[in-house]
Amino acid sequence: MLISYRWLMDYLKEEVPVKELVNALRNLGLYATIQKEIGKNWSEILIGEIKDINKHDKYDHLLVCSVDVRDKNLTIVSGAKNINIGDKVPVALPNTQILGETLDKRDFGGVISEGMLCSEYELEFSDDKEGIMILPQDFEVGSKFSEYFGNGDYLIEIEVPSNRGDCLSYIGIAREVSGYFGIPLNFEYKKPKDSSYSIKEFADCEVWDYELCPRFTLKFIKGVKIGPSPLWLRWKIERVGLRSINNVVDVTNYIMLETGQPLHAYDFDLIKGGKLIVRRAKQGEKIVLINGEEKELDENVLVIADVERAVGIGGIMGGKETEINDNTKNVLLEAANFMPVNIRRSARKLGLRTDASLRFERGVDIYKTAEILDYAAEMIRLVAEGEISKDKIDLNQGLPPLPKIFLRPQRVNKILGTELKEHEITEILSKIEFKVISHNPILEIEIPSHRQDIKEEIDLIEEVARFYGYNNIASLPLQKGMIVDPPLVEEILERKIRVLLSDLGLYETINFSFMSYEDLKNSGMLDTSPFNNYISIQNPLSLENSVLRTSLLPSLLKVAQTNNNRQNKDVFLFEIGKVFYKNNNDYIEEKHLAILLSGEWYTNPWNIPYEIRKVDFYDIKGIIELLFDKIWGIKPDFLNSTYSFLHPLRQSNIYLNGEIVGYLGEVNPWITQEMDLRERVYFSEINLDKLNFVKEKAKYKPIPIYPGIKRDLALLVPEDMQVVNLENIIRKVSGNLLKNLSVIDIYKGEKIEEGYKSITFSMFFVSEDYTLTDNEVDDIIKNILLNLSEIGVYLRQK
Amino acid sequence: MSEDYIKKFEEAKERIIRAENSKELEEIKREVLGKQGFLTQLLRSLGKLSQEEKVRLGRLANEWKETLEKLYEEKEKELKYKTLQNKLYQEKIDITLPGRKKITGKIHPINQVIEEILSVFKEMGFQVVYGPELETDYYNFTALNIPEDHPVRESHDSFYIDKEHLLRTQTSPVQVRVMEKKKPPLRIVAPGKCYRRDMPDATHSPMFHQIEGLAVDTDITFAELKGVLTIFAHRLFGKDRKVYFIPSYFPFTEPSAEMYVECGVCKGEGCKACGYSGVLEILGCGMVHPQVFRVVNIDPEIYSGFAFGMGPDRIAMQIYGIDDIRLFYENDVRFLNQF
Ligand SMILES: [Zn+2]
Repeated sequence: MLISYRWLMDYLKEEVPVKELVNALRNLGLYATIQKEIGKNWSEILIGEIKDINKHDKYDHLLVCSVDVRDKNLTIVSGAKNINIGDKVPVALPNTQILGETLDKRDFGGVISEGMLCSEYELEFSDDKEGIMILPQDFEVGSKFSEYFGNGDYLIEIEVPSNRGDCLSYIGIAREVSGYFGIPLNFEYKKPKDSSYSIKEFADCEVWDYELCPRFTLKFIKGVKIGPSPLWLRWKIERVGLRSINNVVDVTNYIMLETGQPLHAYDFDLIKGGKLIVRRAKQGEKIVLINGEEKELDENVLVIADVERAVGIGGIMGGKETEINDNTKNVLLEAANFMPVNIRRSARKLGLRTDASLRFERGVDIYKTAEILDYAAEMIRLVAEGEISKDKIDLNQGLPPLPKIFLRPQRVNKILGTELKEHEITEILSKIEFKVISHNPILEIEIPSHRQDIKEEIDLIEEVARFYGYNNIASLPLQKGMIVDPPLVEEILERKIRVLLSDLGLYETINFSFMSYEDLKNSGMLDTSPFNNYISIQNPLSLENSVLRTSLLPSLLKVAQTNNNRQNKDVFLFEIGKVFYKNNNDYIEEKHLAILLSGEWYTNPWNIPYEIRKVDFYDIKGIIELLFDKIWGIKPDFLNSTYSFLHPLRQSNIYLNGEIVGYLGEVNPWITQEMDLRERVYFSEINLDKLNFVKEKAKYKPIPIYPGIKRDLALLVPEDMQVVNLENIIRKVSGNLLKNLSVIDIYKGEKIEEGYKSITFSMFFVSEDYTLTDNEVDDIIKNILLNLSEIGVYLRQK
Repeated sequence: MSEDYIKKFEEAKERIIRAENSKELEEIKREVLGKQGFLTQLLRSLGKLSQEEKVRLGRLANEWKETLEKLYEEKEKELKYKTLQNKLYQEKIDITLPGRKKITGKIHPINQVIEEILSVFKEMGFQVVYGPELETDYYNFTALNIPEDHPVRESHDSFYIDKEHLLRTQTSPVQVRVMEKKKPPLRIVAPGKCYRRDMPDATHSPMFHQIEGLAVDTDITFAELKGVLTIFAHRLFGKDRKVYFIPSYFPFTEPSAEMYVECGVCKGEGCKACGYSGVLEILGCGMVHPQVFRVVNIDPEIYSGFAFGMGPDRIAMQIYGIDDIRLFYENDVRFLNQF
């Protein structure tokens, strides 16, 4: 809420310097920022009277004025069209700062202008740039502008917490400041000067729905004179961004800003049947509002109606047809209370957030409705004349007594860690109008009507803390020890995986958990379960983000694409994130790890041959194998898979104990080409929820003391045969003497028969109990070859 | 025993000391200590002498031999050292050439910041826990004392899946889930992703991160809340930065506060980085609302606790000087590589 510093100070018996005020508001939880300082020059602006006006000799559009500022008559050139002889106007003399610029004496075609007549805009008084500001006749010539409008002002923006509807008003904020500094409030509701007639002679009212409108009050003001508002009133409401309409409407806005109670004034003579009915709208009922918009309503919207039609939406906005206008004679003034939830829903549904609806949403003091109604009627009388009815209509179903809450002083200290005495607590609470009813053995506190947010003891404890000052409460480390729980496996894994993969040259990415249906389709996952069992967001921001991701593939492909479009086709990425899918009627949420490699791995040490190599299937498989070894200390199995979004012959599921825990492969080039990815893309995705364990502690094995024997074996293998078949046979035949088996070369081409490839294994044999002999190893090799020959594999003849 | 031998001994010593290379040294060794050497001759000539002389000269000859051998060894070491030294001076390299490194990647900056934040709390005995991102209305709102008609429950703020399920808007539901399962004392921190229906711009992202914290025990006070979070702020931003707690409102804590840290750029004077406020908003916190305890069957008369929630995205932006939150989720490798 934007407030004027000067206006706020009107409600306090002593002025608080603006910096201290901002600090105090912050300490109270009403976060305040000075938005603008205005009128710094007001003490230099003089009130002048225009004595004479002549046309400029040379320029038709300029006037040469003679202006009396008491000591002397100034010659001032002006382009204004709204001035007349005898007008009182603000005059700026040379060297005054106007809107950040220094005013000079200026020569207009031979006429020296000795000052400037100011518009409201030039004085930062309002946004009105049209014409010179015309001041009231009773302003004294030669006196300073600041004598009437104060020595400038500050506009302060205050963030009011959503539970503090009472602070959406000057009085509410002043009350807090008053409690903070111990400065008394300077305010009381004026009592109306009543006349002898009764409102009931003219107006009638019925409330049909007390749930939505628990209190509805009306006052009658007869024979008002509608006109522009006096300057002081305009000044106050325009300064904080409201538009001045006319004197009656301006008063209702003024009092809303001041008290937080929205009001509405009707032209009584336009109300059909002289009667207001507070009721739910009829389905499809229409109303034209004072802002000119027509709205169609439904039964959940509360309207104020006359006997024929709706004349306003309760608590939100009045209707056009009964608004105050230049011909209005008789005003029916409404102050009411509406159910916050319904106001919020209606306002949102209708797309109408008004100053009134904002306040009703946050809760308006139901106990003060009538008092403020009286006050507002009196203010209308003061600016627009008229006679106020001696009585009012006040419809409600009885107001409950003010709530009382028990407060235990030791509980205050237990929660806050303070050592406050009972009397200190009661002093704090009474400063902000909380009444101590009894204090034996515990305090019983009556809650003031404007504090609807105070509902239980803890709310009072917060009030004590706020006004005692959060800064005055000690700052202590945790006082009690506890046996700390060990870290979760999930946390350990995440951290280790991040470190390992980033050290291996991969960049961690974080992507949105939502994607579009198109993304899923473009990633070729629509025909594969569970990727196609996606969950839709009911109210997405856009179609692009309307589906929860079922796999991390679409996100990482998009990151590859983004980087590709920015001339970076080498991408080595990973992500740890959730995927979501439907399983029958359940929503499944899993934590996945995904890795994407594409482009060229490179090493460029300056003195060994520069190496550039495109990544391939074995790079991603190597990373996965390393990952499983380092993180979980296990070797998974890689067995053929048939995902259509992967290359048909370059993919594999990852199994652990017979269960699929992930997959890897080359992303089907048909998909990557469509995305304009220039290089082949390799991808792997692992379900971390199925791997929620840490590596077992290693068991020490004695280092072999007997020498071992190394053998290389070059084999001629049918082209389609997988290495895993050979390995299985070699291991089986060798038994536990074989300590190491690795492929060291694969060769195809010259010297190798058509349909075959050459694979060279390196083997290392060791016995733990004795020194192996060459003969023994020769026997094993023979046996291996014998077994291999059964599947068509032979020793390669050089 | 003649002067002659003494002279030869002195001469041999001199020659060893003066030897200039190992070849010369070997030669001297052979001449002096070898079969033709004067010491051998001396020992051979002993036969003719009296027993007494034999013993005396024998001992002397052995002393000389040891002396010369020792001299030889020292000289040999010295020459070897010189040879190596000479060799090393042929091996000049350019130490300004870059070292050979393995190409490494990076951990995402947000996760780096989360890790740093968590480590501070882990040292204070907090356990890192996780919760689902696809939450129920109950855990996300109801159990956190946010009633049915509360404004934040409006669907325009949250992504709904169906009537009861939504993407969590905060990590606070983890508090409730933990308190349902475990009894106090509790100290947890829960990092994770959250979702709100904000159109993306420089300071808003529909997905962002939060870290939730909770401590519950029999006598936890607001003073400890201030203490723990001040320690945290000092660890993350430096001990010289002032920390402020100002009142705030959250339905699930009371008293509630927001913690601000003095702006590191202007030291509180106000500058562009802090929006001329002199302070940076770091987190929201407060004492757990008794209603939240009641919902999970913890007696608020016996237990008290504090909770806090912070946005690592915003903190990362402040730490690294990033002015657009969207950069985090674009994953341009040139961006990721900077952290
Ligand atoms: Zn700053």
